[in-house]
Amino acid sequence: MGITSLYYFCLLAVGISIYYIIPKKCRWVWILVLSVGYFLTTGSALLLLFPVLQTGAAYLSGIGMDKAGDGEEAQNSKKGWMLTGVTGNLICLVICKYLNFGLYTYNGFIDLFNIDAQPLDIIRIAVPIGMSFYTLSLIGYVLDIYYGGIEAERDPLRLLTYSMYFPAIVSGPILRYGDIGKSLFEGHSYDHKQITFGLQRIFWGCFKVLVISSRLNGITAPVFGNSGEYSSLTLMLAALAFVMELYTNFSGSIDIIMGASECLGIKLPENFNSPFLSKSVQEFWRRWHITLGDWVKVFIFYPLLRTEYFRELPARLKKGLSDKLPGRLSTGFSKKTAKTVTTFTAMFILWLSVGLWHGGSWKYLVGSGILHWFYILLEETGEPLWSKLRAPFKGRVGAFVLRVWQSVRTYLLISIAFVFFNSGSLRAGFSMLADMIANGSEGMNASALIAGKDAVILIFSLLILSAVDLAHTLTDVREWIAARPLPVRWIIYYALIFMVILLGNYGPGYDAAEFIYRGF
Amino acid sequence: MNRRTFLRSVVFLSILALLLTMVSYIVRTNGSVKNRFAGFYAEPKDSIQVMFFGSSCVSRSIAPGYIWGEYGIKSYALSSNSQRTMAIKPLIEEALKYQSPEVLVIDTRVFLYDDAPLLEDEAHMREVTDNMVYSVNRIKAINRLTEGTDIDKPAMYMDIIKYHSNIGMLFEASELKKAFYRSKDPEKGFEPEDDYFHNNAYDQWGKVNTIPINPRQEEILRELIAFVKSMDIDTVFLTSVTLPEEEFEGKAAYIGDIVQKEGLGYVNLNEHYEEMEFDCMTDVSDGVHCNTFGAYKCSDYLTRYLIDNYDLKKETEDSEDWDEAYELFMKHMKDSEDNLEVFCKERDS
Repeated sequence: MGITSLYYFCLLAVGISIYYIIPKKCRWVWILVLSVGYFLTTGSALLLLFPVLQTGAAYLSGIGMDKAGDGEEAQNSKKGWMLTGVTGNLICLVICKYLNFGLYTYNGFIDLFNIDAQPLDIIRIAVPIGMSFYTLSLIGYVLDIYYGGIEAERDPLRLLTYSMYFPAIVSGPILRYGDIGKSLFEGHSYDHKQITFGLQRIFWGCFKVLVISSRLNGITAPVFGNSGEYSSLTLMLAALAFVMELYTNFSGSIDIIMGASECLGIKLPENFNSPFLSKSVQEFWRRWHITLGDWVKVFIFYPLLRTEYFRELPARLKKGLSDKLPGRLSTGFSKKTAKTVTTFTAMFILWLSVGLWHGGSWKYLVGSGILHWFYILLEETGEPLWSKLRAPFKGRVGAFVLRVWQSVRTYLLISIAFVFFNSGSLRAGFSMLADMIANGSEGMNASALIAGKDAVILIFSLLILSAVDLAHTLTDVREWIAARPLPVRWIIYYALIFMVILLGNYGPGYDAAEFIYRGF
Repeated sequence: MNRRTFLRSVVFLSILALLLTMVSYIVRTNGSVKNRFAGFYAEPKDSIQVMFFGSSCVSRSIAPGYIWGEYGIKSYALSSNSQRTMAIKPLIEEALKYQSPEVLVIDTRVFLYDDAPLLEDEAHMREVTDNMVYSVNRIKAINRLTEGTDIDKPAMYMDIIKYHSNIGMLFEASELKKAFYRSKDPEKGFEPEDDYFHNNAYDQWGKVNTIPINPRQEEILRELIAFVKSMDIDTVFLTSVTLPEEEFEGKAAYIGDIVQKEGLGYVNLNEHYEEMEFDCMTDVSDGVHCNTFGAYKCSDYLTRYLIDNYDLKKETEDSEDWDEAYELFMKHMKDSEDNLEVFCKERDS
C-alpha cells in the first residue's frame, strides 16, 4: 500500500477518527494495531518476525542495562547488554540487506581479475518495509540507554509501537526514543489546528510526489541505464533532474508521513530544511536527511572520536606514525594538521556508514558516501584558496552573486554524486558520467523526454516549490496561511487540493509515485 | 471541536465536494456520448415519451429531432458505443429516475455477440458509468458491471482518478457548461453519419433457423425482460439494421421468439426494408451503422410502428429546442443529399 494510494488515505481517515474516539489510555494500542495492520499490507506476514525479534532484542538489552546497576562490573555488564542489542539488530539488517553485497563484491572481484573461480549465486531475500529506518531507531534506543540519555521502556508492546510506528516505518524519519516516546503514548486530545496543519502537510507532500517527482521521473527513468542513447546535454539535464526528483520524492513522502503523524498529535523530527539553499556540501547534509545525519554523528562519529585510538591519533600523527612510511607520515604533522587528519579519518568512517546505510552496493558506498566525504575534504582543506576566490565578491550584489553560485555549485556536486545513486551499478554510474562528456550532440535530446503540457506543469510546479521553500526560510508557511482571512485561506487550500488532484500523475497507468526511499 | 469550527468544516467540505463533482464532470472525456448523457439529464423531468437504449446503432438510426418534427413525439436515444447488455438495466433505472416514458425501446444488437470480450472492455463499460451523474444508481451499475473482473473499482467510482489529466477541458466552454452534467444536446441523442458504405453485399435478411445466443447473454436478456415487465412500461425490443450474416440472423430470430413469448413487442428492421424503402446502396455508412438517410427511414418506420401499436399521444405544446433539433436533422439530410451527389459523381468518374 503506497502512501499516496487511496487505500492509505482511507486507512488514515479511519485510523485518525478512531484514535480520537477511543479512551486516551488505549490510543497507543490503537497506533500499534494500525502499525501492524499497515505492515501486513506491505508484504508477507512472516516478515513481521523481523521487527518483532529486533524490538525484542532491543527491549531485553534495555532491561538488562537498566538492571545492571552501578560500578565497574556493572559497567561491563551494561556494555555486554548494549552489544547484545546492537549486534542483534545489526545481524538482522546484515542478513536482509548486506549478504548479497559480499557476494556481489566477490563475484565482481573474480570477474575483474579473471580469477578461475565459480561465481556465487545471489540470494533472494525478502526485506521488511522500512528495515533500515526502524533498525537505526532501535539501535539508537539501545545506545541512548547505554549513554544514560533515557531510561529503558518496561513495556515491550510500547517499544514495538515505537519501532513499527506506521507513518514513519515507510521511509523515516529515523526516530529517537527520547524525542518521541512520551508523545507516542500520551493519548493526545483533538486539536483542530493540528489536524488542519497535518492535512495541509499531507497535501503538500502529495504535490511534491505526484506532481513534481513523478514528472521528473519521466525525464530521468529513460535516461539512466541508457546513457549511450542521449546527448551530453540531455544526460546532464537528467542528472540535475534526478536530484530534484529524489528531493521531491523523499521530502514529499516525509511530508505525508509527518502530516499523518501530526493528525495523531505526534510531532516527528524534521528531515529536510531547504537543502538547495546550502552553500556547501557540508551544509547540504545538515539540511538533507537530517535525522540520518544526526544519528551517524551521535552514534558513530562522536563515539568514534572518543575511542582511545582516535584520542591518541593526533599525538601519534604529530610524532609520525612509522619510519617506514613516506613523507609526513614518518616525520610527523603540525598540531593543526594532525587534528584535521584525525577528524577526516573518523569522518571517512561516518560517510562509509552513510553509504552503507543506503544499501549493500558499491554505487551507494561511493555515490552516497565516500564522494561526499571527498567533497567535504576539498571544502575544508581548500578553504585558504576558496577564501581568496571569494574575496572579490563584495557589496550586496557581489554577496548575492556569490551566494547563488555557492548554491548552484553545491547542487552540481550533489548531482554528480547522485548519478551513482540512481545508476544500476557503480560501473553504470561511471559510464554515464563518461557519456556526459563523450556523447556531445549525438543522441536524443531532452525534448524527447518532456514537452508540451507536462513541461509547463513541471516548470509551474517547480516555481511554486521554490517559492514555498524560500518563504519557509523566513516564516512558518502554515502559520502564515492560518493568519490570513478565511476566504484567502480557503482559496489556498482548494488550490493545493486541486493542483494535486488535477496535475498529479496517479491512477490507472501510473506507478511513478513509488517511493525511492521505501526500499531502504 | 466547538460548534463554529464544526460548521466551518462542514461548509469547507461541502464546497470541496461540490467543486470536486463539477471538476470531475468537466474533465470526463468529451464527445458525442458525453453530450448525449449530459443532454438527457438536461431534459425537463417527465417530458420524454419514448426512450431508446442500446449501442451505437441506436444513436445512428434513431433521430429524435425528426420524430418530433414529423410526429410530435418526444423521444431520446440514450445509447453508448458497444453498450454492455449488463448496463441496460441500470441505465433504464437511471432514466426512470428522471423521465416517465410511455414506451421503452431496447436495441438487441449487443445480445447477438458473446458477452465475454465486452466484459473485459473497460472503455465501453466506462462509456455508461462515466456518463452517469454521481448517484446510488451509478454505484449499483459499477458493481454490476465490474463483478468478476479485476477492474480497479475506486477508479470507477471516482472517475476523476482516471480523467484528472484532461485539464484542457477546464478551458473549453462546451465542457464548462457540463459542470452539473446538464447541458442540452441539440441532437437529442442522435449522431449523424454522412458516409456511404455502398456495398452490394449488404442486402435484406432472409428467413433462417434460430440460433441460440450465448447462455450468459440469454440470462441477461431474460432478467431484462422480467425487469421491464415488473416496471409495467410498454417495451419494444429492436434489432436494428445490420450486415446480413447467418449467425446474426439466426440469433435475432431466437431473441425475437423469446421476447414475443413474453408478450413484449419485437421489431427486426432488417425484415422490413421494402416497407421502409431502405436502400442498402445509400442508407448505410459502414457495415453496421445507418447514415442520415438510413436514420430518417428507420426513425420514420419505427415511429409509425409505435403509434400504431402503443397509445402515444402527439405533444401539442411548442418546444423551441425540439424544433431546433428537427431543423438540425433536416440540415443533416440536406448535407447528406449534397454529399451523395458528390459521392456518386466521384464513383461514376
